[in-house]
Amino acid sequence: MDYDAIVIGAGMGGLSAGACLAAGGARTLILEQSGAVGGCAGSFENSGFHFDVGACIIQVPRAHDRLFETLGLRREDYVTFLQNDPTYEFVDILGGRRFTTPSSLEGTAEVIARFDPDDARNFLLLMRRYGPRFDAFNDVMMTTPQGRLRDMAKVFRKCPSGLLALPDVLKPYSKVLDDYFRHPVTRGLLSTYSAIGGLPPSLQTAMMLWLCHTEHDGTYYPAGGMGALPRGVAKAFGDLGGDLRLETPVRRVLVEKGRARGVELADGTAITSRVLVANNNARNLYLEMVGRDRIPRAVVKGLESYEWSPSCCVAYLGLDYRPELRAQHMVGLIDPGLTDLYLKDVYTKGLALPQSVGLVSSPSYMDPSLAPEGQASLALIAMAPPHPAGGTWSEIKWDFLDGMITTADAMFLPGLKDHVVFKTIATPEDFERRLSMPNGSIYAFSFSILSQMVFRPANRSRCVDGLYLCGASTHPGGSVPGSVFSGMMVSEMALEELDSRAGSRSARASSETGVMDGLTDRRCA
Amino acid sequence: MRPRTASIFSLLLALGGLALIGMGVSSGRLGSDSAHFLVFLALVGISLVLIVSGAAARRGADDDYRKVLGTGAFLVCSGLVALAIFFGTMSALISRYAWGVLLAVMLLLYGTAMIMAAAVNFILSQKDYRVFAFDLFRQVPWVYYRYRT
Ligand SMILES: Cc1cc2nc3c(=O)[nH]c(=O)nc-3n(C[C@H](O)[C@H](O)[C@H](O)COP(=O)(O)OP(=O)(O)OC[C@H]3O[C@@H](n4cnc5c(N)ncnc54)[C@H](O)[C@@H]3O)c2cc1C
Repeated sequence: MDYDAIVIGAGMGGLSAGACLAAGGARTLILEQSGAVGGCAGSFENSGFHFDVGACIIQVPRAHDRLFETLGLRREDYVTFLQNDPTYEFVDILGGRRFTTPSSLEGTAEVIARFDPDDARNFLLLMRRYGPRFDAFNDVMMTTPQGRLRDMAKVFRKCPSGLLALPDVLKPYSKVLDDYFRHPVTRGLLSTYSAIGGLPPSLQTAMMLWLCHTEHDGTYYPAGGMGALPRGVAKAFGDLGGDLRLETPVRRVLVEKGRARGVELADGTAITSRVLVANNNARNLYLEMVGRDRIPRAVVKGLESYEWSPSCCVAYLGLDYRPELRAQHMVGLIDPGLTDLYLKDVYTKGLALPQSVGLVSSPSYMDPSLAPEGQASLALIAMAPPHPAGGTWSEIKWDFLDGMITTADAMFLPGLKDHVVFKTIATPEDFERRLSMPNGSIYAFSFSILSQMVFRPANRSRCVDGLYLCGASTHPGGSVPGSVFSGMMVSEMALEELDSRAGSRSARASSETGVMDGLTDRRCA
Repeated sequence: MRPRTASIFSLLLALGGLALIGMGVSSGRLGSDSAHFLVFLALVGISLVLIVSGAAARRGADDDYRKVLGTGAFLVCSGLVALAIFFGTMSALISRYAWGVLLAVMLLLYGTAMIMAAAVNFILSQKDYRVFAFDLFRQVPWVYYRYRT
C-alpha cells in the first residue's frame, strides 16, 4: 500500500482528519482538487484585497483548541484568533434602527431591555435555563460518531441530561419566539440564529437557541483571514509528516471486494491506501466516485432523498476607503414571519432577489493587513436559489452583483456604491463548480431533524469497508466546528481500524472513551 | 379548521377508529351474512365519501400540508376501496369464513387509519406546530433509507 490513509479534499473536515491521522502515526496523504486548502472556509487574494471564500465567523472555538490539543500542538503557534466584540451590528431593515450586541449574555440582555424589558428578562431566563442543557447535549452529540441506532443511544448514555432537551428538539423555534418575545426587534434578533442554522424559524428546532447561547461564549476571526485557520491546520499536518497535494482531483474510489483500496486521480494514476477518508459531499462520493452499482439500492434512495441546505451568493468588494463599522459583521434584521416568507420565495419559488443581502462581513475590520493601506475588503452574503427561475446564474450574476451593491448601499452602508474599486461574485453555481458542493449548499444536506445524527450519512461507511466520511454532509454536519469534529471522530475510528488490522491495538484505540471525550466530560460530568 | 373544532373532530375520529378496531376484533360474532354485508357496504360508502371530499380538499387547498393530507386521504381510500371490492367479491365467491376474516381485517385497517388520521389532524391543526410537523411528516417515508446511508 502507498499510504496508510488517503483523505479526499482539504476542507476543514479533511484537514482535521488528516492531521489527527498523521499525529496518530499513520502515513497520510491529502488530495485537494483546487489550488488552496480550506474549501468554503478558505481565503483568496485579488488586487491586494483578501477575502473569505464563505465562512467568516468562528463559533465554538473550543473545537479548534481541542483539535490542536489532540495533535499535541499549541493552537497559538499556528493560528491566532481575534475576538469579535461586539459580535454583530444589527440593522433593523424596516425600522431603521442600528445597534450592536456584545459577547456577554447580560450585555445582550441590556440591549434588548432598551426595546422591551420583559423580552430582556425572558432572554436571560431562557438562556440560563436552556443554554447549559443544550450546550451539554450538543457537545456530546457533536463528538459521538453516528451510524447505527446504538450510536444515538450512546449520546444519551454519555449525557443523560440530554434527555431533558428532547422535547425542545420537537418544538419549533418560532414557538419559542412567540411564547417569550414581543418586540419585533428582539424577535428579529433571535431569528438570526435560526437563519444561520440554515432553516427559517417555523422549520427550525428550538434546540438552535444553542447557537445563541454558545456564541455568547465568544466568536472569533483568525488573524490573516479565515483561510489562516485551514492553512494553520495544513502546516500542522505537514509538521507531523503528512503529504498534501493541491490541484489533484480524485475521480474514483477504488473498491475491491467491498473494501476501499485507494483512489484513482483524474489523470488516471492510482494511489492505494489501507483506509480512505472522504471530505467531499457524500452524495458525490457514493453515487459518482464509488458508483451506484456498488452500493445497495436503499442507500441510493436515501442519498437521493436528502434536501439541500440553503445556498447563497457572495459579493467580494474592494473599497477605496475604510467605512465606519462598529463590528466585523452587520446583520439585516427582519421579523421571523418575514424571514419565513423570504426563504420560501428564494428557495421554493427560485426567485433571485439581490435585496436579500442579510450579512455583511469586513475581514479588514478585524485585520487591517487584509486590504491595502486606507482601503477595505468587504463581503456581502445574500440568500440565493441554487437554480434561479427564468435564467442561469452565468446569465444573471453580474446584474445580481450590482443589485447586491445597491442593496448594501441603501440598507447597510450609505455611499458604498461610489467607493467600489474591485468587485466579483460567487454564485451557487460557482461554489458547485469550484468546490464540488452540490447546489452550492452551504451546509451540504439540510439540518432538519430527520437529516441529522443517524439519519445523515454515517461517519464509518455502512456499505464500503475501510471508508470514512467527514465534513458538512455527514454527522454532525455543516459549519466549521461541525466539520472539525467530524474529522477528529473519523480519524479516531480509522486509527483504531489501522491499529487492529496491524494486530496491535494501542491503549488509545482500545479505550471506550477515546480522544473526543475530554471535551464532553467537562460539560456532562 | 379551528383548533377547537379540529380537536373535537380528532377525538371523534379516534373514538370511531377504536370502535371499528373493537368490531374488527369481535367481528366473528357479528351475526348473519347480511350484517356482514351491510357493514362492508358502509365502509365502502365512507371511503367513497372520503375520496370525493379528499379530492375537493386537494383542489381548494393552497397550503402544501392540506394538499398532501387531501392527496393522502384520496390515495389511501382509493386503495382500500379497490382492495375491498376485489377481495370482497373474490372471498364472497369462495367461502363464508374468508368473508368474515376479510371484514375483520378491513375493520382493523379502517380503525387504525382513523386513529392515525385523528393524530395527524390534531397536530396539523395546532398553529404553532403545523408547518414544523408537516415538514417532519413529509420526510417520514425516507427515514429508513436515510438510516441506511
Ligand atoms: C458563504 C458561506 C458562508 C459560511 N459561513 C459560515 C460561518 O460563518 N461559520 C461556519 O462555521 N460555517 C460557515 N459556512 C459553512 C462552512 O464553511 C462549511 O460547512 C465547512 O467549511 C465545510 O467544511 P468541509 O470539511 O465539509 O469541506 P468543504 O469546505 O466542503 O471542502 C471540501 C473540499 O474537498 C475538495 N474536493 C471535493 N471533491 C474533490 C475531489 N473529487 N478530489 C479532490 N478534492 C475534492 C473541495 O475542493 C474542497 O476543498 C459557510 C459556508 C458558505 C458557503
